[in-house]
Amino acid sequence: MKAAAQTVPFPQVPRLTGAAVLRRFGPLLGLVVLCGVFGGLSEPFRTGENAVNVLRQSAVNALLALGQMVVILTAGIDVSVGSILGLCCVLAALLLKAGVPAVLSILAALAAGAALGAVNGVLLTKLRLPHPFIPTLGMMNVARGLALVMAGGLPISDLPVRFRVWGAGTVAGLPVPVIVVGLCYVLGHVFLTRTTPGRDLYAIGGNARAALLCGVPVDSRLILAYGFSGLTAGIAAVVLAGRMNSGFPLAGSGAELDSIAAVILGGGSFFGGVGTAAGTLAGALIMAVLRNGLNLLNVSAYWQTVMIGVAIVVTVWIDMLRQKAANR
Amino acid sequence: MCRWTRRTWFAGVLLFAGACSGPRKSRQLEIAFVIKALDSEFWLRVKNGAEAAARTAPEVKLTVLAPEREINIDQQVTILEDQIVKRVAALAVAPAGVWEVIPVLDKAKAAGIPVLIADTDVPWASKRGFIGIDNRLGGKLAGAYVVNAIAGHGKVAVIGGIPGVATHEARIAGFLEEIGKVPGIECVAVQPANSERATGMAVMENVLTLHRDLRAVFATNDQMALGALEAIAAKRRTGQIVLVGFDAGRETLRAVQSGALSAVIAQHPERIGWETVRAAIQAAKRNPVAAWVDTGTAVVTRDNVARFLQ
Amino acid sequence: MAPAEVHALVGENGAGKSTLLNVVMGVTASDGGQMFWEGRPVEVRNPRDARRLGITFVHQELALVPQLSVAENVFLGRHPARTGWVSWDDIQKRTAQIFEELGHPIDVQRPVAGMGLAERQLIEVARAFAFDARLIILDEPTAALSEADAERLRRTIHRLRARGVSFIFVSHRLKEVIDVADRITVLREGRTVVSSPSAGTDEDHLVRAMAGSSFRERTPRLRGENTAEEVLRICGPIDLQLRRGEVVGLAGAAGGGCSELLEWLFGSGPQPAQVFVAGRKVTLASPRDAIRHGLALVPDDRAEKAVIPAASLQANIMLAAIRRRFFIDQREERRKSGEFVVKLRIRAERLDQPAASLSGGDQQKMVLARWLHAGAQVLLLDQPTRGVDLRSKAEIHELIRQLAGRGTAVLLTSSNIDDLLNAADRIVVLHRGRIAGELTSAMATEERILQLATGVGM
Repeated sequence: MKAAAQTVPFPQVPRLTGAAVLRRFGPLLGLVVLCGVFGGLSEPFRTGENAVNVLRQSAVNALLALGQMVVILTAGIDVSVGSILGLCCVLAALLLKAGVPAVLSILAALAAGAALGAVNGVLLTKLRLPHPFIPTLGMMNVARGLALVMAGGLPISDLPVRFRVWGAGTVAGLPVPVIVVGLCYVLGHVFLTRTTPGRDLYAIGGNARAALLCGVPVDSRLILAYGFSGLTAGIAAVVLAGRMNSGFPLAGSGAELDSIAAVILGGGSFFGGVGTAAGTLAGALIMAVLRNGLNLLNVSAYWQTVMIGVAIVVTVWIDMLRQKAANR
Repeated sequence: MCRWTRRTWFAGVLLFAGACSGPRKSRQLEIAFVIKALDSEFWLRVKNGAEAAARTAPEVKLTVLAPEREINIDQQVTILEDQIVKRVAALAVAPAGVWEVIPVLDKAKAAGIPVLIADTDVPWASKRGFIGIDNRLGGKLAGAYVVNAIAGHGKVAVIGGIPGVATHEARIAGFLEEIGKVPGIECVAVQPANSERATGMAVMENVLTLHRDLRAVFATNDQMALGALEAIAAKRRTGQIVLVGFDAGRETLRAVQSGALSAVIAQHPERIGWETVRAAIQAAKRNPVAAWVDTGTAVVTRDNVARFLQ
Repeated sequence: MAPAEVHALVGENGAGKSTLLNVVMGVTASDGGQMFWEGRPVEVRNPRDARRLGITFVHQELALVPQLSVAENVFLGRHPARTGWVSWDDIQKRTAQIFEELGHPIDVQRPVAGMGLAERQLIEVARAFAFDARLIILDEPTAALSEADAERLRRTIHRLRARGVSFIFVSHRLKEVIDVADRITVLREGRTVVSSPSAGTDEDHLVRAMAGSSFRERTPRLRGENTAEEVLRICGPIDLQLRRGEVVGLAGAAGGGCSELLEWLFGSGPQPAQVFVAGRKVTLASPRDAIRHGLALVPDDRAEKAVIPAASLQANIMLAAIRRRFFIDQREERRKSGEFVVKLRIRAERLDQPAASLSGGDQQKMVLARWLHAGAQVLLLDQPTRGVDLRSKAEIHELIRQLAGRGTAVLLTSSNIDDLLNAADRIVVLHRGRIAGELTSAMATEERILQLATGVGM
């Protein structure tokens, strides 16, 4: 052992190959190119005001995508995030209307989101449901239904200012949601790269059987991943309700698909074990920039959806080409 | 392979750039009209009316935009934010969520953009004007028609839109107010069907199963009325139940003509679009605008349907 | 091979049985030699060619659709559809007839799902027979069968032989082979060693042929009795103890129970015996339990159970050791994993290259590094040198010796007996899940091991 410790450090070849660059910085590259194209085509796109707008508009999807990425990392999927978002919106709004202080209402929404997400994980691991799609599909309907029941189907509007700052306020020119997103992503990045549970998620997604045989507590890590996804949905709910000044039970309909799209655009793999927080943020920003730029060019929402669909397919296609090149 | 990929990309970007920069020629007045959706005849007709009005003023460039679906309120807010960045000369909105758009309307105001509200009113003090019908009055018209048609006696039901959407709530309120005046009429159900045809049919089936002696139904838009119509036809009771719709699209009008639908409360969507853009042009020019332009409602029955079908 | 003959193929693991069968079936290309079918030279390029000739392979993993009935399975993919419609009546009648001829009438409408292995095998044979197979290949058909079921299968084979069908029969049970087959061929290192009629042969003869034609004198490589303190003890159907610094080899035929023993020791699967670690009784309900008690498993199927292909070399090495703390010190981790890469001579360019880009041998060393870093007391190595190049193999053996020298106890399996003789201090031979014998240095020869592993002399 002594002798081993004195061996020369492992030689590192610092130069990155083209494929490695594309893999690591691909989503960022896509984002820069997209901004370049829109910047050239639209004058208002280049304004600082618009940049702040894009960041604010991307906040909700970016938060959902962070949780979604953690789940997809484990080779899973969470289709309930949109509904959990809706439920948390309504919960926070109801508590606020009942006179509960803003901070407590927010904490309740976050706790509810994390708890519902954890329920997904428990259903998956303890009931041994065959695929994560099943429990989260169930939760998607249950949470949406509960949101409608709790709200009586009606939006709960006109919320106190102390709550609204979380979605609509600014600090030093930066919208609060943007700061929240930044904070969540920094924490998410540290969690995934610098902690054992974070690392375990990569291992589970990469080869669940191997992870189990290395002593990874697979079940509890999965519950953690789904709980985290629910938590980010709760955070997104606070941001959205604050921004819209309303907790509406249909909030986040279809948001689960947007969050999945952001993860894929950000370089995540459906097969699990691949994905980074930074890439996912770039993916969410690509979607926001695409919609924003097309809005400014007066392209209808329908065509925007077409463009995002094309972008997803092209991204994955490029990724496949890259992998083929790397394997050759 | 790689070179091909790169070439395809490059060509794509060029094509995209060409397509986007083609019609971009700045005229003096840019007006944006953001509506709830573009997935129904009603909103397409609003758009047609709006574009017709824009053609009367050559200095105006009008853009009509909408989220993918009516329930995507946050997408509508995003579209509004982006139009504010462009500093349009005037902004007209048919809000998908009454309360949810207020924060973004405040931003428009802060940017000095005059705002007009169409179709669905918003309790926001700074609006330059509202263009639309009196939905409560429309509901009352429907109520009065039903009271008359069933001779002031029997069970009635209401099929409503997405809960909380003000236009539908006002129609329901007006209808119930009118019904409530007649003691012989009992309202057995007020159920939402999210403005959708299939949901309307399902709700109607349930109501018919529970209440075999139902005399009349009021659906707060066309699509739900047509769905209810299907449910009634499936039970072979077409013509036996008084069915009243709202909006008066062509399909509904034909149903009225054939007698399957008793009546429909007509709005004039082209007129809403037309008047909204006319008002927006005035607002953009900093001219005074009427606080409320009533685009009017009418009861369409078999007697006068021919006139609306033209 | 003669027509209407039952021909048995025997040999050690890796002697070339599967390869030969694959060549016959057209799965693998032949690298020399010619195949003759009914007197004419033929070329079989793919399994379809083989089937056209009338050769059918009955796999160890049976290819039946559990939800479908017996009759449907027999005619799967080949419904006799005269008019374009499937005639179920016809299919059922014909299936029933086939089973009648095989001497085992069964309810042909029952779904396969509820049936036992023996019945399923019969269905496979019936399927082959239904399509005029001239040669049916059975790969270890009796490995998991009871004596009675095996006997039933034997009768069926003989019945079909009477109708002109030939069989190739692969088995590790020598006694049974002599019973069933007309002729026996022994393979060793890819070549035919002996091919003789079964009538004139006995088990010892076969074993000798399998092990090598002569009793090669071996230098005693086993180190003999070890008296260090005991670290692991298993009490129950299998009695085994392992001392500090001892390397125990587990030998046995496929299905003999070696892998199974290691797997349940590592907490996957029910625990049939009591286990004591350092004298204290422990429960091993999960891999986590096993790891907590100082056990480590390098599983036989690297790709399936050990390597995380998309993760980096570094992350793969660190996977077991990071359990001990919450936060990860990346610099420390880089230093540590780099050390292992150098020490185990893992050929890699970068620590952050994905594990999938490494060779099989380097991946195996990476998995070993994982457990070395975690610091296991008892190392369970299941076929650590399978699919590994010669150089890595030598390095892995060297490593095992080093580890033992430092006090780690090692339990090792290998399908290659030579490997075991090279690496182990003593060898425990398992046969059908039980200990058939224990061999120390003096007694351990390849022949003796094979005798025990194939159930000879029990």
